[in-house]
Amino acid sequence: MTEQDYQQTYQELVTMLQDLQLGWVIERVELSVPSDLSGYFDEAQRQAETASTQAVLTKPVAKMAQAQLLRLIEATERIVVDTTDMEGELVNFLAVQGERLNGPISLGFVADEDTVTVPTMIDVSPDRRQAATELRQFLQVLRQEVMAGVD
Amino acid sequence: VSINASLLQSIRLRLGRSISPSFGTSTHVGDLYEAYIFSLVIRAALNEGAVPELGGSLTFRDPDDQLTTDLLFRRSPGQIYATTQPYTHAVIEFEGKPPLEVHVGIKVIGRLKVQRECDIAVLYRDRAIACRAQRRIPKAAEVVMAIECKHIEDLDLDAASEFLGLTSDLRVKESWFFVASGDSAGVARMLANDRKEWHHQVVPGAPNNVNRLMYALQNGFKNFQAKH
Repeated sequence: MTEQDYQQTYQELVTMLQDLQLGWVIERVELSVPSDLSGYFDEAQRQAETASTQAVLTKPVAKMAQAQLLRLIEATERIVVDTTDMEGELVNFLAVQGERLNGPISLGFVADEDTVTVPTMIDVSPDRRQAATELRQFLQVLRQEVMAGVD
Repeated sequence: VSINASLLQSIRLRLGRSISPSFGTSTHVGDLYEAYIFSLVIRAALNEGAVPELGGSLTFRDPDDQLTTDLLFRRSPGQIYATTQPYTHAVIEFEGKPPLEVHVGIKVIGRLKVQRECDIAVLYRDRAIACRAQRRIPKAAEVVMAIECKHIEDLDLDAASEFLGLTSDLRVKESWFFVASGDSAGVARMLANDRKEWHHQVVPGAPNNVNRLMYALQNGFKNFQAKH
């Protein structure tokens, strides 16, 4: 796989997340550069400074694009799938507490400044859980394909 | 070989169906994470004996100290005495021990005399009641255990530095916990070197990490019971 392949896939994921109002996930990934990537950036800069106009895509640059794509895949999985998992765990927790306290228990969130208490409630449908499980599997396949991409 | 287009299409479809309509922002996911960690504190207390069979109890109450089954948590940090919303706290009782309260997102005052946020705080119940009656902010010495919750994938060293500053200011009775959904070798090294209790990748998909935190919380309750 070339740098262009990674960038194209990255852009596809970015578009998906933006369409779902999840641009903040991308921002988180792009704002933080892990220390193990700094070497790639240094190498990319060195190449840019020394390359001719017909620059050849070299391994360090492709690796940098690969690493960035892997980070976005991981962030997507953690934020989307983990959120569904957490909601699922909380639904189970409420069920257990309801049994213990002999009545249904609900859980919601509200802000001080809200004039009317209409809390955001926890609710996760079986369909959402199923979709999250499948999403995790597809993201894992994508991760494997991306990891196998650079020789 | 480029990425299979049908794989990306499958991801697109599942992504749309997996998104929670209520937790689509960074802040909202952070709130959810705090509630999730709160649930682990409750489970840890139940495991350590806050159950009728062992002479204990665990209930959920509103600011007027009335029992509630509609748990309501803050979207942003606030005062323990706030009555703007009927926020919930848990009341934990171990047989023959001082009762405790568990709060989410309250402010606490420390050595520097400034208000700091505790994502989750376990306090002595009599002190918490006094704080609500006197409309005052709890002091760190009135907090038994506190938890800093970080729903961040890429922890940076600033998070660890801030935590060290927080724990230096707020000297709680028993222990502080740094709990994160993500991980970082640098943060782990920094906190481990400072002998802090840290837990990374605490998410439902990592049961070993969840269990490790649960046992640490249970240990905190065990020590509390032993000392009282």
